[in-house]
Amino acid sequence: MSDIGKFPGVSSITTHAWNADGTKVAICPNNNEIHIYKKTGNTYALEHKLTEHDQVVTGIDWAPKSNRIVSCSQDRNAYVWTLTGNEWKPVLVILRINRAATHVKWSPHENKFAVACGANLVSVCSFESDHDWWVSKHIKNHTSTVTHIAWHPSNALLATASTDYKARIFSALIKGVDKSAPTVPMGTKAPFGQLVAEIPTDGWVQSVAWSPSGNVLALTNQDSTLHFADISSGQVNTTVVKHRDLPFRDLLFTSEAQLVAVGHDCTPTTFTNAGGWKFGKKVDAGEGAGAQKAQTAMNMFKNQDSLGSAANETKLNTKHQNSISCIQAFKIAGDKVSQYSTSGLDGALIIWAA
Amino acid sequence: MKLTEVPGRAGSIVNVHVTYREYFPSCQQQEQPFHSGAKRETMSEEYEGQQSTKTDAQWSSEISGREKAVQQQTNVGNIAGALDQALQDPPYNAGEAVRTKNAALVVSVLSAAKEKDIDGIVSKLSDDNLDLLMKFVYKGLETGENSNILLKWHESVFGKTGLGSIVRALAEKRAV
Repeated sequence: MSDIGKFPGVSSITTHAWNADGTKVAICPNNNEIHIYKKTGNTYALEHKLTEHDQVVTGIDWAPKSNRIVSCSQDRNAYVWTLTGNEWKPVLVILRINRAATHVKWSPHENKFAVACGANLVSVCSFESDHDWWVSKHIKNHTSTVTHIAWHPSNALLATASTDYKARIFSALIKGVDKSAPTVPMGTKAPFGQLVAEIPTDGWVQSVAWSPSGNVLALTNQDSTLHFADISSGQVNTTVVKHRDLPFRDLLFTSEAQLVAVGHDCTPTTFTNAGGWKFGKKVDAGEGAGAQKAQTAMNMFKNQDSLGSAANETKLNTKHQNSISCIQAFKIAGDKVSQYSTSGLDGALIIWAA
Repeated sequence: MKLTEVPGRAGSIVNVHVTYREYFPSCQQQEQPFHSGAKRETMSEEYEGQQSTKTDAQWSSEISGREKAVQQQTNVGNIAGALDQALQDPPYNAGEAVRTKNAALVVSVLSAAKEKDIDGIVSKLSDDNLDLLMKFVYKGLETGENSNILLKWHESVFGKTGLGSIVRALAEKRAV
């Protein structure tokens, strides 16, 4: 069951984010703008265009409780947008980075957000009410671009994915912003920026995601493997799942025992934990637009003559016609995700049932 | 290149082509490269995977020893056994000569196999060995010899592991 959302004039979606009740979505149509659409049924109506960035917007995150949007871009800036009246007003955040930003995420308590960037660091920003200004602190320790970040549900730990073949977990506790140090499986009360754990892999780490309880960190790798690091015991226990498909770009835990991965196969793929993480199924089995229809004999021979193959296949069998680059939770019921949305390089936004 | 107005002689304004770097001065800082240059053939500075304790000379003599064991197996016709011998403990970060020698050994085993036996042998290999075998198939295809039999092996391994093993053969940092 899925709705394919198409946006007029949008050929490719870099990233997307939903508001709290799933009625509005902010997308970046692979340029320097952010478009906010209102969703009614299966149609999307353009509401706002946010045009403060100079380069491609690489990350958008919409905070559900405070209704603020944070966006980061290849122009080395991030803006926090607040809805005043009927307009989104931007506030520039000085990240102090000299390379493009790749990803941004609000922390679970929405008092800080982290920006991953190509300058081998993560910039964690918090609001200083005295100066009415967002202040950034850097987590270094990477030797190459940070591609993705994921906040632990406790608001205290931050997992980073990097192209230096490692995923890392840092403490992101900021004095004055975080009132008390929550209990976490590893790195309790560690100061800001301290490396709590390092997970080495054999390829670029494309994405990281925490399970709802925060006990398992999943990372997806450019060498077609998924690593599941269980930190509940205080030590890192990693299981590696080598899968059959092309590498994945993004991950989402729909429940404690199920993970949905999306990537260059153009279909969401599930992995389930039933006594060990294993491949589940490909959600889009491939009966979509390009699937074989009954061919007349004449067409078949015509194609054979002009194209060299009997079938005229220009469309993929899956609903997405190109790589999927972003997956977000759409409807959350308790700690399970009941529906999730995927967007990709084909410009489609599709909602799936978990 | 962009036209900008700069003061010219005698107070006139002159349109001048400004180069990209002058227009965006902040781009001139090149403190760190975007990606630390990663070399494909051997370990890069970033990759801190398993460091082998053997020197190239030790590898070389070990592979010669393996050659004998493998030869025994192929003479008897036990390709599966020969393959197990040849695939164990690959010289992941050794020098170029060592890795070529090892690859030649593995390819000699692969080319000694009969086509109809390939599927049977592949079905019994472990996941790790399947990935390793795919890497050796690609390394063997680089030389251009034995490509016929190597492509048969490729097809068989691909049927078992899908695109994943090919991606791993290309993307994994440990070069075989």
